[in-house]
Amino acid sequence: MISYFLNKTFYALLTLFGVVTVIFFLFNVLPGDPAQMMLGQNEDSEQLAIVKQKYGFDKPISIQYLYYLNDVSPLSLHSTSRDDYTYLSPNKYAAVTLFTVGNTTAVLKLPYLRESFTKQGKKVSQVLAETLPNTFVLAVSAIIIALILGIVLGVVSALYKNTVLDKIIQITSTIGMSVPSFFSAIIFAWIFGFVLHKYTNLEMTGSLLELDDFGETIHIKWKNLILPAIVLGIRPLAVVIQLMRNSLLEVLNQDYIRTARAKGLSEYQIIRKHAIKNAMNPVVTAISGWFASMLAGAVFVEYIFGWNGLGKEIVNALNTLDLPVIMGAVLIIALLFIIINIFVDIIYAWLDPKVKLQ
Amino acid sequence: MSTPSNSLSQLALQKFKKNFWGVFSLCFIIAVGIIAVFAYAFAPDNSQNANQMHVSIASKAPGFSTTMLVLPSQIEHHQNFVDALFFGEKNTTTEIPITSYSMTGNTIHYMEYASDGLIGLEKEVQVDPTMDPHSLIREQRFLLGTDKYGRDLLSRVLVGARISFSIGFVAVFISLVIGVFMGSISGYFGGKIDAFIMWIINVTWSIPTLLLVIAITLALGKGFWQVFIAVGLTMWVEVARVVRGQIISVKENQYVTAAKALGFSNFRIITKHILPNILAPIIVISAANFAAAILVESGLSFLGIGAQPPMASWGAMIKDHYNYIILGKPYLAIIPGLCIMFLVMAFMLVGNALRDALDVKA
Repeated sequence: MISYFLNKTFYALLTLFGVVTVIFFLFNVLPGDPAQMMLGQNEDSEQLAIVKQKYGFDKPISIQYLYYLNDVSPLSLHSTSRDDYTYLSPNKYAAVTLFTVGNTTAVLKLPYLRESFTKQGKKVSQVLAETLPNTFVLAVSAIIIALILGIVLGVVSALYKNTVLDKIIQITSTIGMSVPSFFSAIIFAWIFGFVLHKYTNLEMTGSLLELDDFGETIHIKWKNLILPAIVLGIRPLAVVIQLMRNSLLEVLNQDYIRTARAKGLSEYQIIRKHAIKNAMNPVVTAISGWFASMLAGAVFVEYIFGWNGLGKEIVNALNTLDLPVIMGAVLIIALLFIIINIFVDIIYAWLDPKVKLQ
Repeated sequence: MSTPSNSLSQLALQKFKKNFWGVFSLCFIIAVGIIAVFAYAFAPDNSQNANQMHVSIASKAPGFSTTMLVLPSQIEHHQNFVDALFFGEKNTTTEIPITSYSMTGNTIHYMEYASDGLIGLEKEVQVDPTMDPHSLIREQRFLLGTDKYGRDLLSRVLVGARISFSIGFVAVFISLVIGVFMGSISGYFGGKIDAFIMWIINVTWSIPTLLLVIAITLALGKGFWQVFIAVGLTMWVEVARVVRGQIISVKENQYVTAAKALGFSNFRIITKHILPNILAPIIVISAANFAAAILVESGLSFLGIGAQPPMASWGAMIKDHYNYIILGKPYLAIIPGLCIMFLVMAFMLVGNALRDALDVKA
């Protein structure tokens, strides 16, 4: 089990290394000059040179790449000389020194994702720390909605196979998969936040944490979570319905269901105790995979509903070309995706010993 | 070899024909495809990108009609018929919405259209004496109304079908070329090559599609072609996974061993013996990718990094008009949204029908 875990972790690190490399090179073949992007309008050559030196933009791309790897790696080497890019400045790195050889220090640190171009001096890690929890709340709520509704509708659909009810659920689910999320977000915001505002009392836009009318205290507004969570849940819901229906239909054909019937169990008990439990497997796999992509899918939903999460931050960064923020966001989502996959693999290995042998 | 595979595909065709929604969706896709190709022939506004703006009649309701003074263009572009049919007229006339007019000789006095009870400016224009001034006045109806720049919404929607269609084709083509190649060599040869390709696949897989496409479009620059390439470059992963899995499962089959024993080259075995046998899942995943590509493109255009104005794209039309949804003109955003939805849905239904007909497990 431990070697299985270590193997998985090593492979995950290798994958993460690939992600960092892809991200770095994609963002560094940009036609624009990053130093100029940071300074915006007030460029003068002296300032430009200082910024370039400070961020290492004056170095060839291979050196910049090594700097970037060094920055994002938790284990890294740093120079003791103030002029070097890798100088262990406490402003940049939150690090614990391991040992020093000559003028090089090896440290253990939190990955340093650099500073935002547009929010001057603000660390990307701080931007992520502020926005990620909101997205997390949204994604978890959406998944819960999708799971509960999806399983119920999927089971109903399978039990009433080929009836009108089944057809309606199937069509709804296909529509759910075909609607672009920004479009469903707009429609939901409009219908429930505007047209039916009188009855629903929901707003078209709003985030989890909002200042009160006097701008003094911050309130948690759970109400604002409802619409974005439903919209974000539409696509996984559609997928869960299909998966649950197909998998339950397959399970219902198995021999052990016939055995259960032969024992004289009621149909309700067969479905609840024997069929659904076994039919859940593909749904659980799919949902764990969906979770990470939901973090990315939240981009449109957060943007439309004005939800202060990672997705909205990505759109803002895209409009202002705040590259470090986009890079950081992509990295953190990829990291979460990889971690979730390891967990899923390990849970499988734990549940099903056959997996380990492979 | 050819006779049984032929009858198998005939069998699949028979099964497909029985699926009402599959056939219906296929017809719908073909119809939209024809509209996309001949968009300028169908569109009331056949100027390039359906970009004929009339600011004074911006965002009018569907069915709006007005009297239009059409002045011939000053600059002559030489354009042949085929070019105009496929890329739109470059010779754009000047269209002026008017409320009333009178003529004396070859001078037209007219009052410009002004909305909301305002009185328009009175102007006059001299017409070339060889022309009949009456031929310059016509009644124009906007079936779906006008967008926020006063362009004909129907024409924009028709021309916009092109982008959605072409992104599907290009992205599926790129993803097939890369995906089949990578998947085949990975599955067929196994070992280190497989491990390396699997690593690339896992890396690409770990970055969510939308974000990877955004990163690639940032690297390549904003625009139409960049998005095509970016979407293709992210979608090959799914194709490669399917192809690899299929090849691993069929490569121990006797027909492959027989081909090896006959001394055929690996290339020949893969392309002539294995690929035709695993075509069904590749077709099914291509239909799904087509739908996914349309969705991704519309999302990128909505964020403003897809097709750039004045090009008509459904996603960009929603972006331009979703503010109007609370101003009592929701159709401006809803019409292109429904177009995306129906086209994507049609591809999904065809994909499902193909999956059932070809008996591919999901």
